[in-house]
Amino acid sequence: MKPIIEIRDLRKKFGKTVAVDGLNLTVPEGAVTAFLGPNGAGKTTTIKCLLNIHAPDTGAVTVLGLDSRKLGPDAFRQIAYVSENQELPLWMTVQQFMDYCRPMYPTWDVAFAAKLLRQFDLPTDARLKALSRGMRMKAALLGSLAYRPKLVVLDEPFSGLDPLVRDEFIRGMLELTENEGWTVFVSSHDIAEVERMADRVAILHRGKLQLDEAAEDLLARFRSVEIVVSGGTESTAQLPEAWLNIEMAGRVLRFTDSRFNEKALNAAMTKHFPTATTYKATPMTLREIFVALARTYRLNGLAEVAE
Amino acid sequence: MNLAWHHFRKDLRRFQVFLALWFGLLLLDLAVNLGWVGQMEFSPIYGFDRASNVWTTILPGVVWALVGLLPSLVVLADSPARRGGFLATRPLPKGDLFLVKMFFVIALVVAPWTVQELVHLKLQGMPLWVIERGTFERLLWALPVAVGCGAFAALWPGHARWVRAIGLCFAGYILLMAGVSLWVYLFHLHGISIGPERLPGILCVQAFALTLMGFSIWHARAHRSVLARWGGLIFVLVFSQWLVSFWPWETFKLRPENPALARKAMASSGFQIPLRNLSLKRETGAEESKRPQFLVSVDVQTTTLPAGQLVEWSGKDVRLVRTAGGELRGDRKDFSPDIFGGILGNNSYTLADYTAWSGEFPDDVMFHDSSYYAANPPDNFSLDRFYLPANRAEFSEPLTVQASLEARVFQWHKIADLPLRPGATSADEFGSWKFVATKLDHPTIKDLYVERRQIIANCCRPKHCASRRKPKTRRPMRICAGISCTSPTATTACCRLWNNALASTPPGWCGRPGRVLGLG
Repeated sequence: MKPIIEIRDLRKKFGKTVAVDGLNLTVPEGAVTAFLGPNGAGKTTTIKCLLNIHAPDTGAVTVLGLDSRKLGPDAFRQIAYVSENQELPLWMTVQQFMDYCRPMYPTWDVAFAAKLLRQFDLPTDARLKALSRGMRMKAALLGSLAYRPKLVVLDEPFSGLDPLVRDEFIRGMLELTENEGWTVFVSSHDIAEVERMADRVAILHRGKLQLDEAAEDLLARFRSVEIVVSGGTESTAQLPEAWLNIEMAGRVLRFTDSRFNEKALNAAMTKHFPTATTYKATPMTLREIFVALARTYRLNGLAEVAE
Repeated sequence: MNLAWHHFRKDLRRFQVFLALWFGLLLLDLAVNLGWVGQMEFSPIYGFDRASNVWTTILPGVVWALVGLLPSLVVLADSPARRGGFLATRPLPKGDLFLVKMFFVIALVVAPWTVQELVHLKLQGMPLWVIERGTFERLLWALPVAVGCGAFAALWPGHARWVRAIGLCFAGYILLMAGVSLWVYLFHLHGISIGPERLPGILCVQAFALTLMGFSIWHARAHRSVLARWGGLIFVLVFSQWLVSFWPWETFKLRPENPALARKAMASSGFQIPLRNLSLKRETGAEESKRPQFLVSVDVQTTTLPAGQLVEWSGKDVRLVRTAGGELRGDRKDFSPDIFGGILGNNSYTLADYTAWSGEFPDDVMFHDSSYYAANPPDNFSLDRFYLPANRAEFSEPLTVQASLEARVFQWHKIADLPLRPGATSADEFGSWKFVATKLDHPTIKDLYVERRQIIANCCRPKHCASRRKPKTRRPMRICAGISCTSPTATTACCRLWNNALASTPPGWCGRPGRVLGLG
């Protein structure tokens, strides 16, 4: 697939704080890419660099084939950006807001906007400042999706949305990405919601990309493993690197296998835990994988700091 | 361009309340300037009621504030410095946004304010050249202020940062001016002038603009492309400041046909009287006519006189004579140089009052406004005022000012010590006086006039109180001793002055004339 976003060696500092540190990432066209990371990982900064809100210190960012620093009105007609912190003209009513946005986009789809309006259940005569946070987010989504953009960049889009709307929103996004070929780049802490729509997953930690692969592959290679050891406490030293977050509780050993392969797991168990009686390898959700990885990155980070 | 218009309409809707307020204030200001509203009330006892008319004094300040505030708010609504702003990722060309804001500022702030001045001058019946110049001068003020405020606002992402920046600018301005003052004081640079005949006010504006510009540029360093995007506005600010600083504000200078001869005639008097200009001034006092007028003023040499002596200048028979024949006569209504040598200004007394008083004075005694009796006698005085003629031809050719100048030297004498504290009493040939109340904390001459009226109103003397019903017979002569003092400290100085003067004085008068010099 042709990349719609290409990030090469992106670096961005704010004073002495390094927000993004040598990030390389490619987002293919027509896919939903989940951009995950703990707080302060640099997700929002990366997104702002993508959209020319911040200028990169070094590196190159290409969006829709253009240098992000040269994104102009033509490009922004094909890009939708919704952020939880995005400012809206709060003095407008929902209807005025739609009327305000519409002339800016030649591709504005009135019928689609009406459909979204119904779906989001927004009161057209209410001022945006009188709406709740969730309702404002819906209005922002409405103003950004109704022109059927080629690229949708969402920064914490589910913030404040009720479960019903989240569900409808995700369904809608899935439908649109399939039918219209939209590319969605979504950053969120609601990993359970993201999992339903993500084709690819990229995980950022302390400004560096830790992982970037297809969601299907990611889910396939991670397992939560539980082993019951019969003969006393075994040493956990020299265990495979792919085993993360190893915990021993009594006779039960728990860890996350990040390169799950049944044969390899059996071989490793025979080698390291000859007294093991049973084991259980359970598929993990994206949320569980993220937590396991984040915990590992944090431990590694602490180790780096200690060194 | 369609998008620019779309955004302009959005701004119109966004600021409709402010615009309604703005246009309402412009109309109100016009009405005040034309004298349709805001005239002061007059009562024979209390004179002009200024308190009820304070709003007409405040109104121009509010209008000025809006000239700066409105463009700032319009720009801040979509500030290019705001990273997370709604328009940051919307397909609106930056050029269109610039055009929208500039058009808004010029069409809805600068133009209406300029047109207001045009309408004002037109309705006053001014000749075309006065309308042209007056309108252009308004534009010369409005454009840099409005555009400059907008450009400054464009550097800040939000209202809070903008307000903080203004505060910092003011602090910077104060420090800058304090530094300049210190520099002038330490190195005795009083004689230095910057630029051609700039007014002190203009210099202050320039210093402030300089501070603001420096701060803006310093700030812009840290923010990507702010300087580039709004460089045009800053250029307009710099250029207009330059234009303002070199604009010859003494537009209506009247030059003698033969300067050498005129200078010789002036010098032959024994007093140095340099040639003076003719200035256009719009009276703001509600009791005055609202029509723009020419005030002809004369500069005189500031002479250090012995203690107790005073020179009073007055002009007589002042005319503006046209080369082709004919003349403009001044409006002498508010000038009474024969009996009054001071600045009448906002005094609540009328010429009729002074005429009435003078009728009761001995022939050789001239009533004097005691607030004029200061350490630094004024170095200029007004001869007369002329309403501008509607007929342009009368001002399209050279005019010659003709006037007889008169200087009188007075020696002041002590009459009596007059304690200036409430409850104090004094006596003279008119009876006993008692100060019921007085305020001595107003430093300006204008305020002293007000106090003077109040003192009169509070002085209880049977004869005087009775005369309130007949203002023409009021006799406030002794009061003049009191109002020359502006504070307890000044009261002491004042009394010392009286004590140092001669003791033999005709009773009842604050001063008596010495020699009289007739000029011209």
